Amino acid sequence: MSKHNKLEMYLIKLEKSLGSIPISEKAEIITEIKSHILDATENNSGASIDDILKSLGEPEQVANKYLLERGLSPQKPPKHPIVKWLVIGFLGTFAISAAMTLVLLFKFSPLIEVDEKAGTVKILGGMIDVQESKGNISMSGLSFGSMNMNLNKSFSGNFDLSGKIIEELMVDLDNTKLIVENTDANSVEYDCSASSHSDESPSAVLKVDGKVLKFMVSQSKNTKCELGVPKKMSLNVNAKNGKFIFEELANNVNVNALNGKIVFSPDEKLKYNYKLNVTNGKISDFTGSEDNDAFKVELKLINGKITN
Amino acid sequence: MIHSYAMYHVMKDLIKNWLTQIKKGYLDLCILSLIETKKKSYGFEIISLLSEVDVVIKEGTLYPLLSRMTKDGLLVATWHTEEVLGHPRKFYSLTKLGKVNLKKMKTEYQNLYETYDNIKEIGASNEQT
Repeated sequence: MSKHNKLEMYLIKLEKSLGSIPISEKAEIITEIKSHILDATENNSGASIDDILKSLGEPEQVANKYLLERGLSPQKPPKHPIVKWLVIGFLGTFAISAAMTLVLLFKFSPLIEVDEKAGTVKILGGMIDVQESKGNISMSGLSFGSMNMNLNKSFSGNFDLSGKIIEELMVDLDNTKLIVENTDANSVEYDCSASSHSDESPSAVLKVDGKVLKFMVSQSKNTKCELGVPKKMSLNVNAKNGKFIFEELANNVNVNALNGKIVFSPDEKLKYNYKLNVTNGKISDFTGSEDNDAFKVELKLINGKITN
Repeated sequence: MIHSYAMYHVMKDLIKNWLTQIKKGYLDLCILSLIETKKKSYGFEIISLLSEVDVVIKEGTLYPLLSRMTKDGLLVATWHTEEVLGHPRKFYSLTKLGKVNLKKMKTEYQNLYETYDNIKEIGASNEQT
């Protein structure tokens, strides 16, 4: 830095540190200090600009004296070297944590990985592993739902709708592979298999709540269900983990799922109005329609893939 | 007697604090007196002349002091550009109020010194009796 620049830097710092002193007085102070520095340089040719500035003191300290003489509160004292080192230390720590985060991100990447052939969804580099075909989820090695594979039991049945006014089928399932198709019969048909972790056999639970028919599976583990639903009946599915397949339905469909895969195969002859949302994952191309007579298909998935 | 290195430092600090306090008013008196003698003077000259009589004042202290005394109305400042080469200088001279004040300050300072002398005499007279 040249002599002139050092002088200017000093005066700029001084001006800034003078805080609430009126601008005209600040100008006067700056001019006077500059005059002093010039005097000192002329009268002592041996002294460098650094020596003269050092003798004056830190600009912040000089400014504080001006403020104190006026009964004004001084600005914060100039940073002690220790503060600088603390800041560097803090920034260093921050940089290290950022680097660690990057390493962790890399280790857990890809955030989500969908393997269609194996029917698995891996989240956070395998931390959460959803195996749709088995309706099974495991988190960092801990497996849910695959402990008692040997106790797999089948159960099936139907719920006759004749004489009843049921407009909606609500399905609540966890860890399930679900396949929904239309049936020509006036009934909801189910054909399931599931393993149980207790002596109780898994069974389907059907409840009527007003115009809504609720379908659940008790002791639901490794469940696989095929559902036959009459056309036009609204379908509402809430599920956590699994694979959910909807085959050429003539229904309004609403799905809320956490992890897994939703397969919605449209009937070529029908029109659908799609509302699709995946938080982490992929959505295939769907050709929707805005027509009034189109079936409303609302599919919401947090982690995974929606495909047709 | 200085018994140890630590004690030496404690004493040094105590003296330093005491000096800072006592010099605060003393410096005002020195600066005003000098300006009175010189009729008018500027910062760099004040520092140089004071240092010749072993009164050490840092420039970082002097300028804020001059600024405050000007604000208090003891001094009046004028910028001189003609009679000096190169750059302008800010000259200070005493105002009427400054002159009256300085006179009072001198008397008070004299009184302080006399009081201190009197204290010494108390000791001396006690020893005699």
